[in-house]
Amino acid sequence: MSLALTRLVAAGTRGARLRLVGIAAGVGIGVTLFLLLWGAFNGLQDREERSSWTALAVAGDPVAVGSTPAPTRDTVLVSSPTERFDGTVITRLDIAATSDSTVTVPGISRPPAAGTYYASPALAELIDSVPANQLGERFGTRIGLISDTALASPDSLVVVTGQPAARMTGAVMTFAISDFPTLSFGGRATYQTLAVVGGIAILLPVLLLVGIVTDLGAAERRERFATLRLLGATPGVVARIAMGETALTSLTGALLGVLLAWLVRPLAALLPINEGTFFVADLAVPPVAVIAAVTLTVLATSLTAGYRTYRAGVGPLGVTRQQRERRPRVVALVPLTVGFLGMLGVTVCTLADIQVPLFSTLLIGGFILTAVGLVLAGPYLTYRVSRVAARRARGAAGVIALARITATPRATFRAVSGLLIALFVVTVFTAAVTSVDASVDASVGPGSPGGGEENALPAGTLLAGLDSTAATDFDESRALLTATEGVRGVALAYSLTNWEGVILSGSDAATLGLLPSGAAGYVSIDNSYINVRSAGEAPPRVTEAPTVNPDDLEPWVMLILTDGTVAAQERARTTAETGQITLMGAPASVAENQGGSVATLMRGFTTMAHLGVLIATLISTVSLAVSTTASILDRRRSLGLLRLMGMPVPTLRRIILGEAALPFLTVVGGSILLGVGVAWSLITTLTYGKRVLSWPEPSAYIVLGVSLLLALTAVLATFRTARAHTAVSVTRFE
Amino acid sequence: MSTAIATTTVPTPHTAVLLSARGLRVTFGHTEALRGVDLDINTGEVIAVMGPSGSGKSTLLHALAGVIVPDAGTVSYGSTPAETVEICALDETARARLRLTDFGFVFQFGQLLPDLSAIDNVSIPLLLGGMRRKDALRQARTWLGRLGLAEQANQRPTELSGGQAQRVAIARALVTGPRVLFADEPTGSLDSLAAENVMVLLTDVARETGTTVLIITHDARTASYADREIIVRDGRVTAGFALSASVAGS
Ligand SMILES: Nc1ncnc2c1ncn2[C@@H]1O[C@H](COP(=O)(O)OP(=O)(O)O)[C@@H](O)[C@H]1O
Ligand SMILES: [Mg+2]
Repeated sequence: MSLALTRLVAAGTRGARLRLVGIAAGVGIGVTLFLLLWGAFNGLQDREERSSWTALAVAGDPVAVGSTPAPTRDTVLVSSPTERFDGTVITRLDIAATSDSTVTVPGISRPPAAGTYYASPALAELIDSVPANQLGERFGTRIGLISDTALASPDSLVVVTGQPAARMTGAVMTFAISDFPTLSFGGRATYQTLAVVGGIAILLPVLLLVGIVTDLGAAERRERFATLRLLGATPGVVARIAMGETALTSLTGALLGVLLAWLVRPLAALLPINEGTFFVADLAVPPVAVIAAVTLTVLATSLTAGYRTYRAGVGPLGVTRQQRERRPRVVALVPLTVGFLGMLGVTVCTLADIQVPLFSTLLIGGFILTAVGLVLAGPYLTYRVSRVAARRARGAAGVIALARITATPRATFRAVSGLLIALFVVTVFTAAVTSVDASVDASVGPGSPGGGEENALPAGTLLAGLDSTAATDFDESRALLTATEGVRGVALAYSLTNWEGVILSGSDAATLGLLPSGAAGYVSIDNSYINVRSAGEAPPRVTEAPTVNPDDLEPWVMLILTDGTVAAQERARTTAETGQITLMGAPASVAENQGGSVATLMRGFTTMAHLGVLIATLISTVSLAVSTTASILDRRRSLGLLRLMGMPVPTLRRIILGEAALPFLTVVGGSILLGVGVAWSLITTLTYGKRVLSWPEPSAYIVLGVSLLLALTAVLATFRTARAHTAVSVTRFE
Repeated sequence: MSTAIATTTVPTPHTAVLLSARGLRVTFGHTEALRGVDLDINTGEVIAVMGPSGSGKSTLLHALAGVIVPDAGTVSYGSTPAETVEICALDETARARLRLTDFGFVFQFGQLLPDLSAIDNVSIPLLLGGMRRKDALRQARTWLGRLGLAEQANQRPTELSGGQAQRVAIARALVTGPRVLFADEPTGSLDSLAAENVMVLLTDVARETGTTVLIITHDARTASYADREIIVRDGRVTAGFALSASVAGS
């Protein structure tokens, strides 16, 4: 009988069936996103573990500079010089091994012999797509691909080259190892913190949506339950019916969510996060977790539904207990306050150099508390504001909307809370993305290769750090480079013991345009000429060099002047790397040298931010539309009769708009300010004060504007529904 | 109740016709709700509309009040030729305006906004008419007092008894000083004592203010408060026509 009753209550009318579809859809979306986020979190961890073997720093102490130990049967010499191509950093491992080496390199069977290399599939593709003298020649002959099991992402650019032991001079830190590191060194705490933050930012709106959806059609259902009570059902039976109905529905939704998550995994894997796109398998979630997620979702939604119905006190003649919401109290502000102040506390301690244990956990905790606190504090603030406003309302729409808000601050706030959370998160990420290195002039962004405009160096100049300990024939490299297509000149900068500046020969200074051609002897220029990006436009001060004995000069940096094109720069790099000189990594522009890590961090942030914004806003927009419609449907009889009495349709619209706008406007300013505060706290703490916030780019305002526009559209979209459902022909049959 | 006999209480000869329907036809899909209704309603009259359920009473009320536009026929409203308007010819906005300014409505239940206090509920039509809130509230209070609800002014509909809620609804319908009050089974959900109480108040106030009343009811006792009854059966007015003909002939 209970099943029959359930069907009677659950699927009796079109509205009731729509409600069930809504619950299933909401739960489904929630489960899908949860599983995807969980998968992404696992995936980030997995791929970090897989690629940890390239992090040589954890392998032990490097061998001494200048000493060149020979590889043995069970040790190899490894170094990891910086390698670059067109603004992208390539992970490069140079290995010197004996021909009978027993050392295994992850992803490769045996260490490559000198002159040969293994590349990751993405790098191999890149190498094949450009002329050999721009990239491929740097590594030698390709003898195979690095297997996916040793790569973070399908996009990973990794190369393992075989080198003669004589090249491993220690110019770049060189390690003698028998095993490659297998565990990550945990340097990615920043990303994991941000991943968790982003995940919560998305899940919170989802939870709100599920909450809104399961509460749909409350008024209509109360009447139906009252009918059941009249027929003799006990409150327990009614609660159980509500529970059973919700359990079945949310189970269906959750299973669909699992299916959907599985189906969209290949698509989700295409999102470039952190180091690139994902291997689809990385996004897999263990079956236990899937079962747990489904079970918990079903339990949570059905128990809530049962409890709510039981509490509602549905009697045979309708709702006996007062249906008005409990009035929100000041304590609602506590979580927000605690969370936010906690975050600030951690930050202040970090700035004051006080060690805070588990600071990233504290930050995440603070963030969660702040975000949840915002949702909890909203109804209280909304209630306060609406109370004051209700007394001053003038028009009918104002009186009706404000009375509604005052009577049901939780429900009205919940309609916009998803949007506010989205906005809060948008602000956090937008503000975080603006963060710039406090030690660098903010007016200069991460530059492109050869960002010559930002430097006194001629445009397109690459700097190659030299290993002064290695005896090197510079003339050969100089000749080779000068002969390279697109290279306009080469200069050699020396350092001199006990001398501040950089020493250049007169002819090299002329090559750089610092002296008229034909100059001779040696000159000295400011150090900043070659290593500070913001050196300014003014030509550097060229002073006379101290009397120098050319034998005392230590070759320091080779300056390669190119025409600035990518092809020329890459050809120059290839020539320089394959020549006789020993470089400390690939030649790079000043901008590349200083902007690399900044750019990577930015990209990680930005992708996550855009993703979070998009998902959170979409979900919140749906929430807003659903709950706005629901609140009109709950009152459709009284509003419909008012329309019948002559209330014009614009008044109805103003009611709808007002009920969404007041809670939104009450909290929107606070959300944005909190977002900025949280971003500041996160960035400052995670970078130990090295980075500061600045003004967001115009695109951020556009994103913000679009989000708000979407919200407005959601509200406007409900106008039609509201109008249709309060029309005379509908009302009279209620 | 369908056995109630149509009484023809002859009105005073000088009364002017305020609402006049001719040849009203309304169909909903295959249902013919009204099949040609002619009816004249005089200024200040209290008319009880009776008839079995589904006979077209509510449809008639809606057509007369300009809530719906009949498929055929006309409804003219106004007591002098100069001010007479053809309701069916007005657009929705104009009809809504007319309903707001000239008509009042009372329904069986659920017409009060649950979030608003009694006094706010009563003030809504005035606010819709553009009155300042302070004045609207003062006027609403007066009307609540007149209907014996001074004490309940700040209570919400859920805190009122059924009879009290209906009286609030009547206050709301009358607060704008309408010329015609349309009531669709206003006592339908009340017990007989409360129903009588509400009817007495409604008719008393209507007569005091000279308001014309059209009241749909199933209850013969309720109907007895009216000046005359008309009976709707199968979409036709069975008693009213003869009456209006006699008025026209006098
Ligand atoms: N909006 C509508 N859609 C379809 N049928 C309707 C509609 N309104 C009324 N009807 C039908 O018209 C007839 C008269 O309805 P109504 O005027 O409400 O009767 P009463 O008020 O006398 O009970 C009934 O058969 C009813 O089913
Ligand atoms: Mg009816």
